[in-house]
Amino acid sequence: MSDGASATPWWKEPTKHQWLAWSAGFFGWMLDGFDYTIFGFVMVAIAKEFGVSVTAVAGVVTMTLWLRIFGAIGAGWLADRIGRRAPLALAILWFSLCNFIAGFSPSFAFLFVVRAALGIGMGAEWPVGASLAMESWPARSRGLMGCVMQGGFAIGFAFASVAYGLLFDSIGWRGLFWVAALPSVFCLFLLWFVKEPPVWLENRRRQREAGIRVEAPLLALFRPGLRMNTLTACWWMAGVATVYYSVFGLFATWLQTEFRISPAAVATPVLIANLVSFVSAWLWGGLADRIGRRGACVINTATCCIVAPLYLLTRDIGWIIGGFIVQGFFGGTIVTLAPAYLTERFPTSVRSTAAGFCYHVGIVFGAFVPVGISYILPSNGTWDLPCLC
Amino acid sequence: MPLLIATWFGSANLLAALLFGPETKGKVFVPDVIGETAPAVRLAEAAATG
Repeated sequence: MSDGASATPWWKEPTKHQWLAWSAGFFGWMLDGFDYTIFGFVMVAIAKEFGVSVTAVAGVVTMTLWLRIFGAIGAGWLADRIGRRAPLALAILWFSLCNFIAGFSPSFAFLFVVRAALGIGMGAEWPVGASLAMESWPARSRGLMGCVMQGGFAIGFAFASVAYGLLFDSIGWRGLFWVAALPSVFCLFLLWFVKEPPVWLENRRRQREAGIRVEAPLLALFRPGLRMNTLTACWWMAGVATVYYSVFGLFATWLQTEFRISPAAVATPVLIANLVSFVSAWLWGGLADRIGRRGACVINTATCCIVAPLYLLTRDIGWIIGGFIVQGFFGGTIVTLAPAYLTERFPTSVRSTAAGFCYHVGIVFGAFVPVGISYILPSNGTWDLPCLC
Repeated sequence: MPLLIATWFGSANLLAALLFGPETKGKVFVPDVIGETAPAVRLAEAAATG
């Protein structure tokens, strides 16, 4: 880093095009969060309309989770081959259209298929948006803006809860799906002005000159030289996802089953904790740029481990909810390091595929750990498979 | 208790994975030419070598 760059405030260093590229990643992921989490609010209404159980409706969420990994690998491969912009536009268009069409569902089977298919677009968005934003952004503040970008999901979740609170009584669940699809127009408009990251363009030029390209990027991740990196990245992400699901994904279920608290009463602390995690993403991202990704992650995780028993081992509901909101500042934010840390670990030729694969493998494996532990250990409640982020 | 165990279990795993993972702070993205020779180039090379 040059002295000139150090003297310039970090927010003045990026150019207009770098800000645009980051904004496309941020708003795309925020919209992803909005479209995805809106479903959680209307599951009961859908179950009533189609005369099916809430468990059957929750099956849609599980299918969406599984299909994400296919979207991530496919879009990652495409982004490494043809560039970041087009696959990102396709992903946003895909999950927005799925949401829009789901609003016209004549039957539960139709809704199941269309909403499950949304998972492909959702999975596709993350690796491409992260690669576009992180490759475009200057290295000096990449950790910070990677964390803030990932925090966009929490903002999308907050918007979904506000939209539900304000609009559900007047437009119902179908109207909410249509409304959720509308912001995609803004994202696609934004992408029109975004340029491909210079490093990817230069990489493609050199590959063409040398007549070389990665034919199967997923297989390339397991060749000597990248194999260990891929495996430890998946391992790290699985640990991150396990903590995230333990903090956020299962908390509402725990309160409802162990303390008989209504979903509406649980929604408020969950919303506050999400907003707290977005604010804290700025702190942890800044720390990651100052002391390093690993140092920031270790401090965050260690604090999370200390905070966890303070609210999970008590029966005082005020203490539990307060502790949970504080935990949003620590354990709820570890995942925000993923965009910078995962994209920085891999070479340009396979970056998008690698980031998408490691992120989603971690998410899928991590989602099972808290559920598995809850079956092994004595518990009064039943636990659903979570998938929030 | 399951949530606490899961939190500690996940934390232990991510910390262990960090030990084996690289530090990437300040990483400058650079072009790299990894991969295989493209099929069109392979055909051209095969034709040239007879």
